[in-house]
Amino acid sequence: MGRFISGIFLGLFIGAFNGIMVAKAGLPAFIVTLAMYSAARGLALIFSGGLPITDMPPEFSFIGAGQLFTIPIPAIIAGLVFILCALIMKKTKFGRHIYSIGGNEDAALYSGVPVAYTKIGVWALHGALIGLAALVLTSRAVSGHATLGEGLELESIAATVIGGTALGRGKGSIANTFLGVVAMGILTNGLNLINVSTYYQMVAIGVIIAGAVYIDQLRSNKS
Amino acid sequence: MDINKKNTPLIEMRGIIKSFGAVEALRGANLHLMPSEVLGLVGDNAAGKSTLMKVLTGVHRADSGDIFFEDQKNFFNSPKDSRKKGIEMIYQNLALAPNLDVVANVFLGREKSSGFIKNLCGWLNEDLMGKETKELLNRLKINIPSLRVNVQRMSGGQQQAVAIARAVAFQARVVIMDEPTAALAVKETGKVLDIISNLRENGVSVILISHRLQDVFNVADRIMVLRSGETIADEKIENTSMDRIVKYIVGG
Repeated sequence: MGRFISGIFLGLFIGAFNGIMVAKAGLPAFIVTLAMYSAARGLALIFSGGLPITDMPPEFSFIGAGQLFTIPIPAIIAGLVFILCALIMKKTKFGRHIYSIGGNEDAALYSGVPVAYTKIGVWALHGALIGLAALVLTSRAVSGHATLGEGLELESIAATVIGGTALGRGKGSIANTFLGVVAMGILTNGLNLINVSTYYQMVAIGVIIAGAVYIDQLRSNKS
Repeated sequence: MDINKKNTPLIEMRGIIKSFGAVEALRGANLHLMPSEVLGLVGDNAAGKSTLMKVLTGVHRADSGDIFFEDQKNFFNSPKDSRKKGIEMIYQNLALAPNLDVVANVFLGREKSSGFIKNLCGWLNEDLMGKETKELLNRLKINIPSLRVNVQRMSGGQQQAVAIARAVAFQARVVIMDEPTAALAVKETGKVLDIISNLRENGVSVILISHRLQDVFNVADRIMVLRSGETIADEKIENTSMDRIVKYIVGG
């Protein structure tokens, strides 16, 4: 159990480190993300020797393939995370501060919002959730491999922007993100079912991201 | 005691000098502000108005000169420091988060929660904050139809009103406004000036930085002119005229 939890904590620490690089060292978020993307994946390949790890205890597969009252465990985990995040965003100071930084970072800073700590907190939470997602994915695949999550970073961005989150303007909600995730899930699953190759799906995701952001900009310029 | 307090300035700045490298922004500027007074601060661009206010609020530190707050010699080290003493500055574009509603903006950075567990999680007490915002706006006679609308959907005047309410929400004694009417229509300007008058009635002093002399003459008790970093005029509104002030500003 401890070994699995440690994966979540590793994510949390890496996220917090990224957050410190952004909030304290002043690096652009995009660069920090890309740099860590490369460095962390490199470390994972070094530690695993580039080979999949398959000797997992049988009970570990419960996380990815188990069921509770016929509901798959990954769905239950996702549901709980969605509810938790929705509550954080709408009902707590932390969430309010996140929105205010997105809306007007200077105003937030001047109003006494702890901007740096809030940013680090967001990155740390983000990292912890990636750790959790990795746990589920590894359990589903019944093997751990350093490149298992490749492509998910863009899928998650696509789901978020389809859900109407305006990048860098403090707009968006967890409920809408949920709809975005469902839409992306239906889309990729549908494309799989009608035998569209993953290569075309990658093209589709690129088009979707650019298109969703473009439409969002059109809408916000109008108002 | 009370009378005595009325006659001593709340803020006094003497001989403030501030340079940025080779540029002398302030060259011995003086300023005083009485309790419940509206002071108009005017001057050409780069006359040093903003720098003087930044020295007062602790954004910049003066190279020399004294600042007294309630007769106590005092330098503020940061805007946080001066806010604690009740000096609030409303910046032109830094005041509000456009994606949040009125209540969230008024309480931004000072959100309220209640109860031990809820406090621990930072759980927002929206009812309490909503109620207090309503009371605050009533006290300042600010009329805003809905407190739950994002401020970006409001008119410029309403946004300015929210920014002012925000500034005085927490026992502000001095409010510094940087061009509060610059972007407003005539009707809205009148409303903002009314709010400034109301602040004075509520015992708050106001320093009004403005290019619109008409606005300053409408609402201020006293007007002060900065030129090239020096205070060159300080006159009661009833003893001066716009022509005189314009001459001071341009150096005629």
